[in-house]
Formats: sequence, structure tokens, C-alpha cells
Amino acid sequence: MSPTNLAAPTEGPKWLVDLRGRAAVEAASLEAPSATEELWRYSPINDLNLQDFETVEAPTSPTLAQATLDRLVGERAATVVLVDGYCSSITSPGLPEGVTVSCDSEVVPTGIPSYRSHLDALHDALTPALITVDVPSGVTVSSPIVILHELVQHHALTAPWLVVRLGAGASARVVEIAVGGGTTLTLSSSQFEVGSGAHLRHVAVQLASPLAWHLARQVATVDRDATFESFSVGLGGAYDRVHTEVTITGSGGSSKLRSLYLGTDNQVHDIRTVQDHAAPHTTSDLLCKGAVADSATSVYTGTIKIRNGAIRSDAVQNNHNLVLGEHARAESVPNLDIQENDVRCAHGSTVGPVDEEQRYYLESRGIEPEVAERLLVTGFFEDALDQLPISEVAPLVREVLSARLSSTLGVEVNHG
Amino acid sequence: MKRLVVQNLHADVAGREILHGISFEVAPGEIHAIMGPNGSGKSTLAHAIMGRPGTTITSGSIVVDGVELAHLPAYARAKAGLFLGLQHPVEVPGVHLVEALQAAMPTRSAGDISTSLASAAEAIGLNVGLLSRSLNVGLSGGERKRSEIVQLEVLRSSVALLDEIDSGLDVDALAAIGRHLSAAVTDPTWKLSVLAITHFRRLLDVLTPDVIHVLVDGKLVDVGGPELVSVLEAEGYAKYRTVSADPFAI
Repeated sequence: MSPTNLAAPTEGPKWLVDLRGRAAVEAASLEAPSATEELWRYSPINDLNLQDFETVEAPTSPTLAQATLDRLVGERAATVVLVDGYCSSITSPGLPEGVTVSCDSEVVPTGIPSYRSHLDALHDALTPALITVDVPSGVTVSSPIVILHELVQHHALTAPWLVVRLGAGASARVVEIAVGGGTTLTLSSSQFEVGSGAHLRHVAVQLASPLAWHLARQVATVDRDATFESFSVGLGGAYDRVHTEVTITGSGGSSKLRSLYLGTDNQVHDIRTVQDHAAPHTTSDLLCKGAVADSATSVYTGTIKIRNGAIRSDAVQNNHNLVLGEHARAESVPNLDIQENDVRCAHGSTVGPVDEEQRYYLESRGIEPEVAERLLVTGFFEDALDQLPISEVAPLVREVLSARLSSTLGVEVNHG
Repeated sequence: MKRLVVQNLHADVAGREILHGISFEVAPGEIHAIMGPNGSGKSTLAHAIMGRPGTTITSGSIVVDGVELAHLPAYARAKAGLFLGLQHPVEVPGVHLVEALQAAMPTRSAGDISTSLASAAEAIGLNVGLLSRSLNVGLSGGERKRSEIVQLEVLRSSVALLDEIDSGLDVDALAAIGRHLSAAVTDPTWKLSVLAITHFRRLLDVLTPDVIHVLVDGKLVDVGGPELVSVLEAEGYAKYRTVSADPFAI
């Protein structure tokens, strides 16, 4: 990575223009990320050259968005189409009163800290727009709100930004889908504020081109008795990174995090998670599953943090990796940072080929080895997909996953 | 309706010979039992016949219906008519029973297989709702054993190797499984051959064997009719042992 003179977008509300300026100054004073840092260990970040990319000055029209949206089932409360980070269209036929989905919020988001990372600052310096979803207290949005992010321009650096805020007792489901792109770099930021007793379900599906660098940052705060469920699916990209940090700030709050990825060719899937318990009687449950074939790599590093005072916290972290190719590899690094005594923490990690006992069991029924392997790998993913918190996305994910598995495993894969 | 002929079978596990030359023959519609103390090689015999990776046949032959299977992988032996009901059927998350059986029988439709599964499950007292779960996931030991028999019924294999199918079963389940297997054995269109591996007589009370083989230290040391069960129960296996006899072995 090298210094950049990327041109920042100029439009938007004054607070955003000001923020870009401040972020640009801070970005210039922060070191570019390096694989020698723990946060980027095992990643190909040293190969990222910002000079290869340009910011997009004027948005173009979407080309894949509609076909992708057509694969979702059921009604949608709102649909936002972003093109290279710019807001292209918002339709909201089914939003209850008081709920807003907007691309030009005049309200400055709270909690923007001093930047600690060059890329986080760069994101805010270059973001063309903030997409906000606000659900007032006590309101339930029953159909999903879908944010579709299409990458169109070659060599584009895009920096989409989403903030979702749920008031006390509110409930909503938010889907983010990324598609398209050639050699593109996406720095995406999604922030979630889940108010007391609220319930937010979130699914992020990354289907970007196999040449794309896709770096997503997801940060959530979960208040008293609130629930945050988030499921990330990583299928596209040359480098797919999802950094998720969930801080449970209120007693009785809980989070349920799921990640699923399939790596083929030279893909790298890099999943970083922090389950931060900052209040007593909080629970977090994380399951990260993926398979790597060919020369693909996956990295999982996850931290369970239980702060002083967060008594009776209960945290679970599991990472399971199928390694399907001789040259494929999976790294799995759990970390615990426990500052309280009266807590329960469990973590588990597996890395290896498909289970020999399971394979023998299927073969003893007369199932040919390559078919047994296909069933076991598909089953590995199905087991996680059964837990998708927004089922409307399942057909899209299954379609892409099946096609990828069929070409990887060399046999037809049918679902259902 | 196929005959299983095992001749002079030697098998290794982890480089150590466990089976030292086993020979026997099961005709269509016959029930044979293999009895023996713990560690005598009973399960190894079942896995050697089925073709478990890691159980290596060093010499001898396994023939079903005139076809030599000893050099074939497990799935090919299953296609030739062998079925192994496992002592501990493993959980296979994300893979459904109907999906697995359809992969085993690609010419049959999923709908047709589901219908067969449901009727077999109902007949043997397995909650039909369990069939829609992932294979064995969340099933009790007894339910897994019933599921094994349901799979045997749908696959309609010619020769069933049953490894401790009686363990973990209550009296009613055992009776149901015994009834089913007996019916398959006598069914003139099926004539299932059974090789039941067991410690205990309780299975043989509900599934009357034609022949009992006694396996001790990797060798068949005695053979007899159903009357041998009572003798073994009274006298144990000590008299068959030549070296390092375990006085506590049953």
C-alpha cells in the first residue's frame, strides 16, 4: 500500500463534507495497514496498492441490481440501490409510519471517534453518501429492508456507508447485498445501534467479482435486553474481509453472529470478530463456518472480550473449516480477553477435510465417494444456512453457492 | 437373494492383524450370529466385510453372489448388496435421509423414496417427523438403530451385517426390529441374509439364528445351532481361549 491523493466526493450535507475533510487529515497521519500487525496477520493487505484505484466522480446506472433483487422472495419494505457507493434509487412501498430510509440525512451520526485505522479514516474521507435506516421505538418493520450495492466502474474505490438505528422495542430486518465489479476496492462500513429491547436481524451477502477487494466493517452496539443477529455470507471477491465488532452495552442484551464462506482459486476470506461484553448478564453466540478449495485461504480470528463488571456473561465462539484442496489452507485463531470471574466462555475450532466417519457412513449406503463428498460439503453449508435470520435471502444464497460448489466439486449439486 | 461367502479372511487395523483367517457362508434367507467376548474382533469383521478405510484385508476373499468384493471400496460393496447397520451411526449435519438415499439410488425419485421411508418408519415405530431432520442429528440411540433398519428396508440390500444392533434398544424396539428382520428373511421376494454381531442373547430371542459362530481372538472357534446361545451364556468364552485368558470375560 502507498499514500494516495484520491479525490473525495464533494456533494452531500454540510456535516458530511466537514467529516470528509477531518477524516482525510487523519487518514494522512495514520500508517497504512500492514500484515505485520495482528489485525492483518495472514492477510494479503501488503499487496493492496491504492494507486490502482480511483474514486468515482459521477455515478452510473445499475446493470445487475434488478436481476439480483428478483432472486429475493417475498415483499420488501424498502429497497435502496447504491451504485459505486452513490445512492441510485430508494423505493419504500411498505415502510410503517415513522420509519425512514434516507440517503441524505441532515442528522450527524453520533459516536464518530478519532480514527485509529488508516482505512477507516479513508472510508469516511471518501464516502459519497450515508444511508440511514431509522426505526422509532416500538415499531416493527415486518418485511426486509434491502440495501443493494452494485459495483460498476472498473478500478473504482467505493466507500458505502450504512447506519441502522432501532429505537426501544423496535424490530427490523436488514439485508445488504454486494454484486458486480471488476478490479475494484470496496471499503464498506455498516453501523448498527440496537435500542433497549429491540431486535435487529441482519444478513450481508457478498457476491462481488472474483477480482474485487471487498473490505467490510460492521460495528454494532446492543442495549439492554436487545438482540442483534447478523449473518455474513462471503462468496465473491479476491480478498473478502469482514470485520465485525459487537458491543453489548446493556444488561440482558444478546448477539448471535454467523459467518459462512466458500473460497476457490486464490480467494482469501478473512473474518475478524469481536464479541465485547460490556454489561452483566449478556450473551453472545458466534459460529463461523467455511470451506476452502484449490489454493484458497481463509483466516478466522475472533476475540471474546468480557469487561470488568460484565458478570454472568455467556459467550460462545466456534469456527469450523473444511479444507478441500491440497494447496488450500485455513487459519483459525481464537482469543480470550476475560476481565471478570463469574462468566462462561466456550470456544472451539476445527480445520480439516470432510469427516472420515461421515464419509464411510454414506459410502456404506452405496453412495459413490465424490457424491458423498458433495453431500457432506453441501450439508456443511446447509447446516448453517438453516440458521439464516432472513429466509427471503436463502434462495439467492443457495443458487450462487450451488453453482460454486458444482464447479468446485465437479458434480451437479441440487438443493431441496 | 444373494449368498455371502467369506474365505480365510485376514485383516489388519493400524498394522496389527486382528482377524486371523475367517471362513463362513450365509445363504439367502439365513440368519447367522457372530458371538464373542469384547475385543475378539467382531466389529472389525463387520468393517472388513463392508470395506471401512483403515481396516485392511491382507488376504482372503469376500464373495457376494459370485462377485469378489475384497478389493472393492465400501460403496461398491454396498451396491453389490451389502448393508452395514452400524453400532454407533454418526450424525451428518445438513444431509437429510431422503437426500442420502436418493444419492444411493439415483434411479428412484425423491418422492418415491420419501413414501417408502415413511411407510418403513411407521411400521417400525420411528416417528416419521424425525425423517426430515439431518441424518441422525438429535436422534436417541434407539431411534438411530430404528433408522438403520428403515434404511435397510428402503435400500432392500441382500445381506445385512448388523453390528450390535441390539445395544441401546428397549424391549419394544428390540422386538420391533426382530419382527422386521425376520419378515425380511422369510419374505420370498427378498430372502434377506443376516449376519448379526452381538454380545447378548436378547437379540437372538427375537431373531432366531440358523447358525451361531463363536469368534475369539480373531478366529472362529466354534459353530452350532441356536442351542449354542444357552451354552455360551452358562459357560462363557474362557474354554476357547488359548492364551492370556481373561477370567472376567463373559
